[in-house]
Amino acid sequence: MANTKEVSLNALPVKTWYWLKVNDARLAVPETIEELEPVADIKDSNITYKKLSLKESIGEGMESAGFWTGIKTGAGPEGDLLAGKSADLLVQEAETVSASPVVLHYEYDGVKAFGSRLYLYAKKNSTLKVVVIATKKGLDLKDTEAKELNGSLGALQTRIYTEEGAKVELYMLQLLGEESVYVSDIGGRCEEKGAIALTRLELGAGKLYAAAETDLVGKHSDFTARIGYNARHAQMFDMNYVARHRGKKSTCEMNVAGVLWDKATKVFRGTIDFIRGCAEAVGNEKEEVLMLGDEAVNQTIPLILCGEEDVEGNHGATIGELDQDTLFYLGSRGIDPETAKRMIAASRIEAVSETFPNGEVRKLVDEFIRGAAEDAEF
Amino acid sequence: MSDVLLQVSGLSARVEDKEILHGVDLTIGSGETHVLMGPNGAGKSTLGYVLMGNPRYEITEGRISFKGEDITEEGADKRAKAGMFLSFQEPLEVPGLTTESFIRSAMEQKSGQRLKLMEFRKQLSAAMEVLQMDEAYAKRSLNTGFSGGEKKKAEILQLMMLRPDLAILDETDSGLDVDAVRLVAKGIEEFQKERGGSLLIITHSTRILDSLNVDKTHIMVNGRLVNSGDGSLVAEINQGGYEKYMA
Amino acid sequence: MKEKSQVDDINRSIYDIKNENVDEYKLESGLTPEIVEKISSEKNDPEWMRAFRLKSLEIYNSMGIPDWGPSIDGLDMNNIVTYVRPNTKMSAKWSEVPEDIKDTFERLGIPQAERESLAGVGAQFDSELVYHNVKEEVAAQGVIYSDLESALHGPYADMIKKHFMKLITPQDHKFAALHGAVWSGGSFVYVPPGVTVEIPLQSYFRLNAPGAGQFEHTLIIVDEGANLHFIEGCSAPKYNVANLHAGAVELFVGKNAKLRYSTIENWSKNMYNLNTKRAIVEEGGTMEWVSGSFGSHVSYLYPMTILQGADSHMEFTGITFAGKGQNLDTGAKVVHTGERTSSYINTKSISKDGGISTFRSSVLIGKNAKKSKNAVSCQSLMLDDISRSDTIPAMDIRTKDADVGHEAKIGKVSDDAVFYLMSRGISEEDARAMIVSGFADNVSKELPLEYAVEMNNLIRLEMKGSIG
Repeated sequence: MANTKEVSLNALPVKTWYWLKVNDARLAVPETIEELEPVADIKDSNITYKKLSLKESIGEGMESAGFWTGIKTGAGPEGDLLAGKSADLLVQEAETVSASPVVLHYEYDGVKAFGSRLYLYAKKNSTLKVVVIATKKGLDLKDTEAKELNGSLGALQTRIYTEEGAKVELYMLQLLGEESVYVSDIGGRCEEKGAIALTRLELGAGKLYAAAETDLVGKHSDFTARIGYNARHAQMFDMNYVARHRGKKSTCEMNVAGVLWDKATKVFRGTIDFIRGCAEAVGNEKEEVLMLGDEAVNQTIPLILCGEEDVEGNHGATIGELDQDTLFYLGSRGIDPETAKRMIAASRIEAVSETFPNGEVRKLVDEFIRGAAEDAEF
Repeated sequence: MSDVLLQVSGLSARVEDKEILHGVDLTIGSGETHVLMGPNGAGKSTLGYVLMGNPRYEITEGRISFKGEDITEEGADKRAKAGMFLSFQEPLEVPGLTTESFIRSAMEQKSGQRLKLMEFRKQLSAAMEVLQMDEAYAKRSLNTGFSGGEKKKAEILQLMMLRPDLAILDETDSGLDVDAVRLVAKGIEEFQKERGGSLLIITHSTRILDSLNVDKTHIMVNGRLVNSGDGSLVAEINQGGYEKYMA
Repeated sequence: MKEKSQVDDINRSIYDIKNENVDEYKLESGLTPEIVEKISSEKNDPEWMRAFRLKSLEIYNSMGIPDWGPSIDGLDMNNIVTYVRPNTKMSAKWSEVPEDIKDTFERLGIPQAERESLAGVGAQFDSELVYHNVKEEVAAQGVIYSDLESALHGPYADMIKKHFMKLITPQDHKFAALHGAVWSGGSFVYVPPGVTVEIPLQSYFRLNAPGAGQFEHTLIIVDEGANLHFIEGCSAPKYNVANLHAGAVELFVGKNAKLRYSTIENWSKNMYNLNTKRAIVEEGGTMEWVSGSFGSHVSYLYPMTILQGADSHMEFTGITFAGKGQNLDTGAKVVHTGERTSSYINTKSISKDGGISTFRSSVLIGKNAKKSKNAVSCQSLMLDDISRSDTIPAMDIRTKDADVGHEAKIGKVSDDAVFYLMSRGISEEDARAMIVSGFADNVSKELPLEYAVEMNNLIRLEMKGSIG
């Protein structure tokens, strides 16, 4: 590989013991990263598309790059080094709802390094729906062989801003090849009653760095994240999610459910940060990790940071193989333990994919599951 | 006398360090309907679990034989394949796994062969019709977001579809309104008549028994069967409660 | 506007008794090989110990200060007097303990507790163990409870050499290295195979000199099938200069043995409590920690348990109360390496008046720890909005054949609960106090009744609330 530099990504908002090796993730990235434009399908006339250059600050307000780069992202400032020099800006007009979601397809060649930026802006009382599909060009879902990393990289930085009463629904499916590293980083800011609903399914990439940080500035602002993943072979998934509650009565709900096969590794950092003044805020996070691989490694670091009295924060995590009760229930219907594991593993992914608004994604996922089920070894 | 389907002899079982069942003997013949009653905490549900092979419970003594085979050591899936069924008080929720695809997989596992989709759908809608379940439930994730009553119906739906030889129904009627009890009872009746299946009904009330022919009633207190009799014992318990057995 | 009931700060006046002029002897501030040599020769260390201290000092000087926890900027090692000892020799009779020191312990209720129920008491005053006694019947069972320094020259010298700082090594962190260099005083306990010590052994630490450090080393070996409850209490009067406590506790729990280690820590608010505690458990053994952290300005305290033997077990029950000016970073660590090992961590923390409490934990389940179980539950209560409460747990699971659960909750006193109690005729103030007090119950009910007296002294006043 050509010249690389090391970046620090996905830093835990508050450090803990270094020997756990979870305070951040280090990634060597190529010096030169090309810009990749997605294939866009925009049907709704209430959505406008603009290209923003980060170099020359042409526009004002939401159309100036400075506004957007002020929104912090989950991967942290060094994530900026991976994304492109311009950004695709999508704007949903005030008081309108996306009649059909924008579909953005990022296709990576599995050889070179590509970066992109996407800015999503929902004006007052609007709802913007976007589906992001990241795949390897010509991906063969029937090919279930493990791949070695080859220096290829995909990076997407998404920044989201929702005005009062506005909502962005973002659905992301990631199906890169295992020879690639993928960095998908999100930053969001919500004004009063603004909301971000993120649905994410991580199935591919040899190494994945996925992150999201949302700044819940406004009263009653809300962040929901529904994350599903399936990691097999030697895949390594590193995730960092932060909900920062500033507004009164702001809420967040993060649900993460995934499956680890073979010798896959996963780190999930999930932080609920109650900043003083966010009275009556409520934050919930739940993680369920199904460990099915003999050499799988799971790291879970669920933080609650609290500087406000009048809040409610909850964290829950369950980690392990299928629990006894599940096995017994399925067993009582005649389903043997191995089939039960495959069934539940598939259901974890289906539960997320069935919420995607487009059938194309569901079809891709079904195909993936069939391949993965055949590949599965216990 | 009918053929013996289930034979339980001297069965004792515990959960963690607590002994719950003490030397239970029970014989259920083909096509028979048995009722198991008893005060709260008597061990009725435990008996259901132990018969089905819940790994949480450890059998310390005795044996269970089903269709003449000793199944004391078998896992739940083997027992189910042999023709046993247990309806749960709190069935499992599996987001992402639809009720219909679950039932279909279970049927295919049991029979060992692929089921034609059309044939399966036909059977499923017929059964759902009996239970007056909205067909939309077939497409919903298994038990996920179902109300208590819907969960009970979904259990009976599975009973009707899987067509076991012995169904153990654990408090299937509790928490149901009158109409729902009637529908659930209809489902059970259908199983009893069409399939000629045996039943072990664990219950507190008689509502569900009204339309069923009860062959035997057993009273369990403190993990022991303290009395057995015919269907009339149910009425007796309703009148006098369990006091006379509690000494 | 609702008036909230006032929950008081812990009344520390009874712990703030200062003894005058008992410091016979102080070493100069700073830390050099000369000082360490001097400590070593004062203590009449065996040669290996002298070398160990010097090696530890080297490690200490090469290591950085941690950048992940509460700030310890207020601690200037060059101004810490590392060694102080009162002008008394060790005593086995209460009557022989000097009056002023005795006075302090009397007020803390220690001898009464011993008379009533404790099998033995070791009391450490600043750096030296001043009072030590084991009830005769316990001694007759073959139980050894002595100060560590003299034990280094006794019949158990080899056993100590084999275990001393093998569990907590000077390489672990800067303050473990410091401890290795300047440790002083502490207890040695050995419970022979099969022996059950019916009543708890107790040690009491009190740091009395301003700007001093306490570096006691506790080494407990509970042999196969033996059973012991050890209680540790700590307090110090308040001075304006920082004090440092960098003790080390090493616990060896043998096959099928059981050790319960209870601590009530009430150092004054000028204390930097950088204590390290660690246990290793062999096959079928059980380690139980009961820990109450009330005092100190800054605490870094995470007792660690290594479940090495198959079927070994650990339970940790803790409470941390951070009031004004306190930054208490506490929790637990557990490493599962044996098969079918299990651990349960249950903690509560309360923050008020600008206090910061942090729950920090790590759960490691290794590749070979098949069929292991772990459950962590931590609950935090915020009593006002100027305080902080952070929860920083980490789980690292390397076998699929494990069952791990984690639950964390943070919140305020529940309005519904207050309403429920008020609907039964209880005033709002009392209702709040009752709820807070119930919240702290997990630890107080784990302590032996006799010893809970001190904990009650600490909590009761606060939880009652001052009404009107």
